[in-house]
Amino acid sequence: MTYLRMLIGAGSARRLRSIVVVLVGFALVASACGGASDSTASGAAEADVSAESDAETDTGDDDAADDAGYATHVVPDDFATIQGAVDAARPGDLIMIAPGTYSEAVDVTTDDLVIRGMDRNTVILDGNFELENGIRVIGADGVAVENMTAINYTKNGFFWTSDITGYRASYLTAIRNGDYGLYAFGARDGLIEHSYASGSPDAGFYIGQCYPCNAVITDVISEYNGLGYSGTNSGGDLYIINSTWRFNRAGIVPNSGSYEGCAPERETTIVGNLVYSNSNPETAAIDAALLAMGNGIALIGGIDNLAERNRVWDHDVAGIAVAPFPEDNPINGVPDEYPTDCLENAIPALPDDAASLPGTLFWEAQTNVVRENVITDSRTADLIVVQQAEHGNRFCDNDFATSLPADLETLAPCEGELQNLGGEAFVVFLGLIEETRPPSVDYKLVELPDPGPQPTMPDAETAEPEPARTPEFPDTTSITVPDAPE
Amino acid sequence: MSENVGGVVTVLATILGALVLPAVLVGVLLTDADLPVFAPNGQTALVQAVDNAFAPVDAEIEAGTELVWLNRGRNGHNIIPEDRDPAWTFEDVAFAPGDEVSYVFQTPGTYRYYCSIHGTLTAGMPGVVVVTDPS
Ligand SMILES: [Cu+2]
Repeated sequence: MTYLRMLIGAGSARRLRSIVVVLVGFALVASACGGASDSTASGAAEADVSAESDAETDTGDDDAADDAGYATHVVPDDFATIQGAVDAARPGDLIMIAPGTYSEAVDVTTDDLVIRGMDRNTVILDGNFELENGIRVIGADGVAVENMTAINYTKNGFFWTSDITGYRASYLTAIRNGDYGLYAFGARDGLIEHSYASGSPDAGFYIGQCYPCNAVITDVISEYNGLGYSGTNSGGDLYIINSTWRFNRAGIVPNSGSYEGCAPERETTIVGNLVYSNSNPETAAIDAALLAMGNGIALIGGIDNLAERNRVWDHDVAGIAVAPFPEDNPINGVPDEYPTDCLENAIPALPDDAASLPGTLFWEAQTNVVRENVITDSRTADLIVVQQAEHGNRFCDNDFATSLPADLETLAPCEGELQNLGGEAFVVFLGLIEETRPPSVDYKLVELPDPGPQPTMPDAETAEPEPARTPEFPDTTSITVPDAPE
Repeated sequence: MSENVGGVVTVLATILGALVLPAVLVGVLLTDADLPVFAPNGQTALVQAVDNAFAPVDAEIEAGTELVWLNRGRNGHNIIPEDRDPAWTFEDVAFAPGDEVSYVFQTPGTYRYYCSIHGTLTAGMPGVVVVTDPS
């Protein structure tokens, strides 16, 4: 096959692009950076290498590993780069990263590693708007990432993907990353805790394409993102609790779509969160964030979700909305049967006849329950349900002032018969999805507040490594409505 | 798919300016008269990129067929070929949601590729094109 023959392969407009992509390909090859997993070794430059570090070096010896049952690899003392330490580590090992700025995109493919920063606020992975993911765990089970910060990646700060069982994110900070802050896809048995994400056009925190997910998000802050939380086609023992979602375009937004496997989204439990001021027009934002803008908790196109005892206020549209999700150009329809194990082979099935699909597919939100929330200061209504009675969504014991339709808790109570909900909410909904929203701001340029030092992991220097296992599920009955901040 | 052509032309001019010499060199290096090359047959086949996956993962086409990758997901992707065949590749920016890119495979063989944003050749977001002899 000759290079010139390849250029002659296709029709005119397409050929132009083919030529370009081939040339761009050469450009990439020529600059030797076509792949994603660069681990530029410029990292450690600012690392504080002190006398104390010598002791750390000793624990990196294999002899020490025999005593402890695992080896500790210190960056930069034992390895100049995080990737170097990761590549040398065996399952169960601990990687300790000294304070410094590391320009690396780290890929992890070894099970049960614990990758820990010695200080959350001064161990900084910086993508410089060139590297894609700060730490990306691909197909490795049980990997825990702890106590560090990832900024300025073109894709994600921290990313677990590809049929993973067991993941944990503890004391992580992700700021100004081009897709998500913390991103778990096709992964289950996860714990995301004590973490912070801001400045992503998609979601600060995302758990997608898993069922049952067996996952817990607790004690996180998500702000100035397109979406505070998004989870497409996920659910099943998926808990979002005791966290703060504020100043995003929209707050907590589980959703369904045919472009990812395992639709629809199901059984996400949202309890004890502070959800406020998610109408921010000045964030980076993907289209779904523009669509959902102004809603605190939006259950869109999902099934059997529970929103309970959250405090929700100051939203341009709804405090809590239950609505269909309109998906443009779907690649498949709503499945007849919902998949019951979504970890493997979850690529969406392609339709035999794409022409039979509608231009816009409406995923209906069904049999969701919204109860005991405290909702105030919503410009359209505190509670909105766009669906009809037949969809079985229920509302009770909420503390709220306005709803659409009015008398919502009478018409759609938690116990008893569901009554006609009328068409007013649907008319409002159609108006909203046609509305032009303030456009996305470039994530590289968007103004973000300095969140200040975030709580650092206790005993980071001495704590034993604990690979990620199925998290303990919370007893949500013990969670009360949180107090508003001062 | 033509919406990026203006930008593409600009990029093309820039790259031509910078890369004429290396491109010619590589073109010479890649010449291999022993491999059969079949003319374009006017057929197209489709691989859809969804979020974090190519579908189908395994595409089988006859030599001369144009394979179109269409991004039907919400995230951007790229297409990175296995090292042994660096002559076809697609840049990340050309493959945003809604975009398509294409390539005419004229020589039978097995072409493995992956999206580097979402995985590696073996996990995450891999794909294979099996190009068969024309029937
Ligand atoms: Cu991809």
